[in-house]
Amino acid sequence: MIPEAFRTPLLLVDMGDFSYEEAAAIISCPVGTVRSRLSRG
Amino acid sequence: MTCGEAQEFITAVVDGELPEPERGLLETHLHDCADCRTALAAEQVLKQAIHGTGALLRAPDALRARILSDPRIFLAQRRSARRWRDYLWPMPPALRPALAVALLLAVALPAYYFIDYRREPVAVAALESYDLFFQGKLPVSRSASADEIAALLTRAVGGRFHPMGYDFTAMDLRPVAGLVREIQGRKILVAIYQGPHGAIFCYTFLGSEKDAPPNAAKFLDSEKKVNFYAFSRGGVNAVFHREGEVVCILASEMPMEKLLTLTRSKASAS
Repeated sequence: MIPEAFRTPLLLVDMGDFSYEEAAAIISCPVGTVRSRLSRG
Repeated sequence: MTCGEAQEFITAVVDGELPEPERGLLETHLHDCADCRTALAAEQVLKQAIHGTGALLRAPDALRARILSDPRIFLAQRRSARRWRDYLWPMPPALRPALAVALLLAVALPAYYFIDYRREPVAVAALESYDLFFQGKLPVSRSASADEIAALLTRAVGGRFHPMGYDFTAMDLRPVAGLVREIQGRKILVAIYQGPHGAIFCYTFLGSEKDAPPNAAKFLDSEKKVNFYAFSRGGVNAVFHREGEVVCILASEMPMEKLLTLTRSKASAS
């Protein structure tokens, strides 16, 4: 099971079609954090 | 740029989310790094697969529209002034669990499926073609000539490597077809031999012993100084070994012991 911190960006971007910026706004974190979590998820 | 840094950029570029000048830096790195080019191709295949399934199972459009139109979340996008402050506006706590539950219900299963797919080693994933061939789901080039199949497959990879040319006529198995598959960005050559009592698929691709599945049973032939790795997928048994820069896998429904003996007899000493 992927930790939630990595799973949420993956679901939002890859399955929910949200942009990195939208995903960052939804989970209240910087865009760079979304990007790094996606690549490591 | 290190390969670790490039990995983050690769994910972003496949998502269409990598701005300049990072995009230019990545392109320079890719030009010099074959491993990262392979990683890029694998990422593209993975994203396509995820998006394909995501299109079937996704959160309701109404929910998505409601989230995107919520001024508390996306004020930052519409107001360039004080953007950083808007960006940090906290999302209402009540909306977070609702969004998470909706997305999880809609997409958790396919996401887990594809994460497993990503982790499946190429050697194991390649065996999928065994069943697909018998279901008639693969485009193959049919020929009864081993030489013709070998020439066709070699051409398909621009002569970079050749399929293993084995002769199984002693077992009443004759060449019937060849095909090329691309798995995780790597070209896999498949020569298919069939007879009245069964079939053998011979897979060849560029690789090393690192491509052997981690849970495979390893056997050392001390005479030939070759390692053999036995593993199965579904009802198909497979034996993996390396010859120079290519990996060869023989796959069949015959018993593992028989397949292992056969592969050892055909393999060249290192």
